[in-house]
Amino acid sequence: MHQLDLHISQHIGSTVFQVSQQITLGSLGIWGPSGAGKSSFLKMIAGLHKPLSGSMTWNGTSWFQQWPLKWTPLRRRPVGFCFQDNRLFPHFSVDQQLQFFRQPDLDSSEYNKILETLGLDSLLSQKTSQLSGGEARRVSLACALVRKPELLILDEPFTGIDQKRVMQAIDLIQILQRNWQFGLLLASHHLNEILAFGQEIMLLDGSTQASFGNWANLLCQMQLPALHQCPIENVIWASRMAQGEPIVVENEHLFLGPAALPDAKCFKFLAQDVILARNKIENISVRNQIPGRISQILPAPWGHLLALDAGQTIWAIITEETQAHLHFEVGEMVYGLIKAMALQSVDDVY
Amino acid sequence: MDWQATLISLKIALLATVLNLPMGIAVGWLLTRMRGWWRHSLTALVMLPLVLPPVVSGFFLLYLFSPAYWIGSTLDALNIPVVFHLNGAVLASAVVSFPLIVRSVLNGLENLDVRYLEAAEAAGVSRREAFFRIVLPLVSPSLMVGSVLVFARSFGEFGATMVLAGNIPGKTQSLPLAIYTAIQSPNGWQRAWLLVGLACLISVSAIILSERLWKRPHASA
Repeated sequence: MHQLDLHISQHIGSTVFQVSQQITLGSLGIWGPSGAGKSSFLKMIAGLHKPLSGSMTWNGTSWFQQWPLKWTPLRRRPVGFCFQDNRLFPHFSVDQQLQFFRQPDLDSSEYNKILETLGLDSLLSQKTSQLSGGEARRVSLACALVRKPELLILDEPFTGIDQKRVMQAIDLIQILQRNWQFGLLLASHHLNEILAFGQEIMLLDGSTQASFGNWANLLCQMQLPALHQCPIENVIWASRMAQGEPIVVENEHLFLGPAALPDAKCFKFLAQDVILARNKIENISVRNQIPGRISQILPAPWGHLLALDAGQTIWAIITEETQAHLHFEVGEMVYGLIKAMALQSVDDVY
Repeated sequence: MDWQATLISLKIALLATVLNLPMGIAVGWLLTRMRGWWRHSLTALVMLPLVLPPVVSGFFLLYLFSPAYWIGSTLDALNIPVVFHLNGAVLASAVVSFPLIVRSVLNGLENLDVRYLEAAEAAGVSRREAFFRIVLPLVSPSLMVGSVLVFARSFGEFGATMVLAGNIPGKTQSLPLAIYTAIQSPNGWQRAWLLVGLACLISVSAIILSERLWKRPHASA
């Protein structure tokens, strides 16, 4: 376990944001909507931006102190950083890029394992400027890992990577974390990615303070305005056997509306747009009806948050009154109804 | 005789480019690190040869490097002659064309995406390694443009060279000086035309070559 002591204030947009927290890592998910300052916060922790004031200590070593000024730049911190926007050097091949980041004491079996899991073996001789978005994302993630860091900071690391590889990448990071014992800070606006690594989150909802704690507790304490600021978003992956064939999610035909690109495979929709039903319903305008088992029910001030295990977790929000009327229970089979119009394609998935 | 002048010109241009490239990178980099009054002063000093008449630059150089003063006498003692020597021609060309390389380097460094520098930080490498492996390759198109400009300016250098290195056939007489001498001499027009033709040929070749070199990194990017 690592200890990150933060007592800092920093500009995020036009507001001054303050954090005073002793964080024990493990893993900490940083969750919040786009523009809430997740990236700025991570860059400040990594050592790319100096905080306005305060102090920051990593396992007893001072990384920042306002007075007398102490500052350890990123290059001298044992940090692996995966930038949201890749930042691969255009004059390097993938191999040169990885060697530039590789820590000398990383043994070659671990290095090869990273390359293999992220599917980079066949890309080594390619120029980084010729990679597709998903490939570049994987190289960027590998760069952070081959640093063999004490603190791994991942900023939306799985955007643009297909579902199978996301699962493999999550497994890889978990195995490496067990072997190397690094602390992990993971920013994402997808709850499922964060929950793959742990239950502890820092909630950034655009206000001047962050909240820390167990995700379910935090979500359930969140007041309605904050939920509007920070809506719970579902992300599902669909597949298609061949070009022209219908697109399916867990063997169910997926109907798409105009907000989804016809050839997309990854879609997002809000938890509050999911309708739950005990039976499949004919003669209704909602065409997507995905069966699943209720795995969790969390009471919150604004209703109930339900997790539906349909091969992939689908979150649904229902009101207090609905739950009082229908009495959904954990383990029960239900259908998640999603309007085709509510599906938006996540178009940066390759 | 004609080939000699051409060769001397090519030698001067090449040496001035080789001399100016590292100096230009160093001064350009220094300027990006400086702020306020210091930066303005150094910029003014570096850019001065661009606005001064070359003859005036040559005059200052002659004064500085004359064996009567300490720089010139020290260099003489070290057996490095400058005045009325090929070294002087190279020096004059380098000084006169120096603003061109500094301007190009500055352009490249100031337009360099700061996100690449942050990414180099994240790789944990030293600043020196980041400079040589990331910054220099990324600004190489600007270095290329600057080098071509220095080469071209040095190839055509006349005024400052004439004042500092003189016009000694076979020693310091470059192509432009040879053309001038040919025009001045009776019945020299035929020779002048020949030299002008050579100058045009070399200049056009240099443009074509630089275009090809310029395109290469872009084609692979």
